[in-house]
Amino acid sequence: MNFKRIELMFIVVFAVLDAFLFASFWQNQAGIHTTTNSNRNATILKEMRNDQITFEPLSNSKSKGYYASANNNSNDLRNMKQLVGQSSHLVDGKLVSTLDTPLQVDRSHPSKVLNNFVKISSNIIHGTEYEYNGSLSTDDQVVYTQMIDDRPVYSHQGQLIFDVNGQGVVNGYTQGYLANIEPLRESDELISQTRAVTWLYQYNEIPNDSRIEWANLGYTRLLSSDNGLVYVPTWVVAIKSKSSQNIQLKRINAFTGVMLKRVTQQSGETTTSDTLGNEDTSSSTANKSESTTQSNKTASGQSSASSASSSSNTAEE
Amino acid sequence: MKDSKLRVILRHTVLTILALLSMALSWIIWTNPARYERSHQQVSSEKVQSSQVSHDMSDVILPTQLIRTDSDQKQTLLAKSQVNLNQVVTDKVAKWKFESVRMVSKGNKERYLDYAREANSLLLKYPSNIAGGVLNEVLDQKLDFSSEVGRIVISLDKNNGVYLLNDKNYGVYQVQVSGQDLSSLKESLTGSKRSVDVKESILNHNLITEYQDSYQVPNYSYVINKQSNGMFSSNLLANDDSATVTTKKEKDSTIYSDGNRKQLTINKDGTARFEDYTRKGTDGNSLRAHIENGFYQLREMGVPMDNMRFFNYTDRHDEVVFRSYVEGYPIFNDNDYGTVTVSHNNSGRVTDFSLYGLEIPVPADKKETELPSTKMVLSQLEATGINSDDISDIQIGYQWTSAKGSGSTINLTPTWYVNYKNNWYPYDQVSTQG
Repeated sequence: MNFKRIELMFIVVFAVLDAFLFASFWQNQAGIHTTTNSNRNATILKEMRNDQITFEPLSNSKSKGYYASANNNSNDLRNMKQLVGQSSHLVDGKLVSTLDTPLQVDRSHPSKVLNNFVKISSNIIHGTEYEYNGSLSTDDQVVYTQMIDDRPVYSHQGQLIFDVNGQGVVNGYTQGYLANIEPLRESDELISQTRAVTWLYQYNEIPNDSRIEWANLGYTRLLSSDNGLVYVPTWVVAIKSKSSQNIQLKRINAFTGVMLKRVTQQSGETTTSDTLGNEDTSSSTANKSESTTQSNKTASGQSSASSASSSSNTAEE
Repeated sequence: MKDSKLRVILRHTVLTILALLSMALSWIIWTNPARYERSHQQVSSEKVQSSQVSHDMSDVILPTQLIRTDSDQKQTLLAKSQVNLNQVVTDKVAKWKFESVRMVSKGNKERYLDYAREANSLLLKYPSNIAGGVLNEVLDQKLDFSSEVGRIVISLDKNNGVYLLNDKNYGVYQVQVSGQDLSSLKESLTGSKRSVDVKESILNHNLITEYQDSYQVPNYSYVINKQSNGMFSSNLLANDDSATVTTKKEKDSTIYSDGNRKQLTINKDGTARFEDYTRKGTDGNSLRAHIENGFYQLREMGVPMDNMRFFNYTDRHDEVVFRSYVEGYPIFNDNDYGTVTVSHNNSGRVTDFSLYGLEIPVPADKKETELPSTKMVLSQLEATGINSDDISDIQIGYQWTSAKGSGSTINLTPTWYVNYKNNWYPYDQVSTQG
């Protein structure tokens, strides 16, 4: 009898103890989750969803890339004699050409016609080096880019842009060309797509109630030196506010995770801005008040960015 | 009221299960490393990191030269301009499993050279000897091996042909390996962009790589990055909440101090010294401990580590040197910019470093510089009256000089560096060192 009581008491005591231990074990597990790296990203992604930011699933895989050098002296584009059926001239190192016979393209699939056009050397100088870029192309512009390490160049100097009118007629194009593209160093590991987007969010660069249209790995210009331009692997993230048609492009250095900014002259006063209008005018319809509020946000983002990382790459473009 | 037998058994079983479960749970909780790591990580997350990519010891302790020997024992130095081949090869070796090790030779210079020149093999050269324990760590192995090792020879046509080499005592150790994938290793070596004819030979107990002919070495330029004083003072001094950092400005330097045990001096020219008297001198500690402590110190500082490599260890002051590297070659600078030296004296640890580091590569003015063959350099030195016994090592290195008219751009010019009386000099300056 006594033994039975004692045994029952022990069962109760052990049950309580087990419950306590199990709870404390569970808590510990939760603690680990918030501290490991990938789960930190997951937490940030969850926060982003809470802020009404929508996005397609992002990739965690890491690839490699290298610093590349190139020249944009327009010598290569001076070979205008090879071009047939168009009148061309150079403006600011870019070739601006008007076609004698305009091309008719399907506005929803412009590359069907243009791919063939671009590859012919009497149509486009070094045309085989360009590839169609669906992300940058819009209803009004079809963008082809040069490739570095099989990744598109997200800077005007390496792009070929066709203007398309409402009827799907292409009257001409503007071509920038990067010559002598070469790796400067051996390749190194890059940050993942998820990390790039979460950094951007932590820099306060993704406004609430917006949508991430795409996040692509490409090359953008980091700086220019006496001996040429330096291009860096860059995550280019397109963000569209749900309340407007604006698409903004943000750039994250894929080596360091530092945000790349450009300094542009706007109505006499220098402001920092990264709107698509400045980086790649292709699809921006800049709304004045929008871009001002964005500039303010950018400024606060800058401070959080620099507190997160003491070394800040400043990109000039 | 009598219990049925079944009930008794049931009670016994429940009690036993509950008791065992409580023991198991207690065990799991007590041995869970997260208990300790959590508090540790809270500290590290507050650290200001210059680079947002974290680094392990295997990123800093890497072989810097790969030499392939063909079936005729002809040797070539491998380099691929787009891939970090050293990293690729070590990543592959880290996937193998080193099972056991046995000594096959010791103290025999000729036999040692035979292994370094083994036909159909790949030679991985670390800048200098590392401890066996460190090798385990960077190659993700669990080998019971505590000797020093500086070179690894991997036979490319037979399994288990992995040898660890120690220049100091000409020790050769053969490793039994499982899971060895030689074909994937060989595949990664094909298509090497630059390959140079070399020959491994021994110079004063040091396996050197002799370049057979004169060689066109690429020049490099970099935009350099100056880290802020504040970053170092917060990383090194303010890492526990109670510390109050005092700042004292002097004519040529600024001194930061946490009151008594730690002091950071940053000079106007960008060189800096951190003295930490909370760390006792590590007399009698192993090479492994010295390298590990050096690495942890390096990481704690927050300097960019992308180009940093472990360079060497010297007994004097238990000094561990980390140097910036470019494409497998060390960088030297008169002010020791780009170099971190961790040393010890009786009262504590001293770390010398600089605020400058390489940041962004830019195209160089001049593409290449022609360097004479190794033999030519050595005979030239002899002709100027240098005693060859005083030369312990020779290798190609880059001289860090500032570019004209630009404060933030530097040029890296290749030249032969000679270790003369335990200091490194460009070969054309050795004769002036007396």
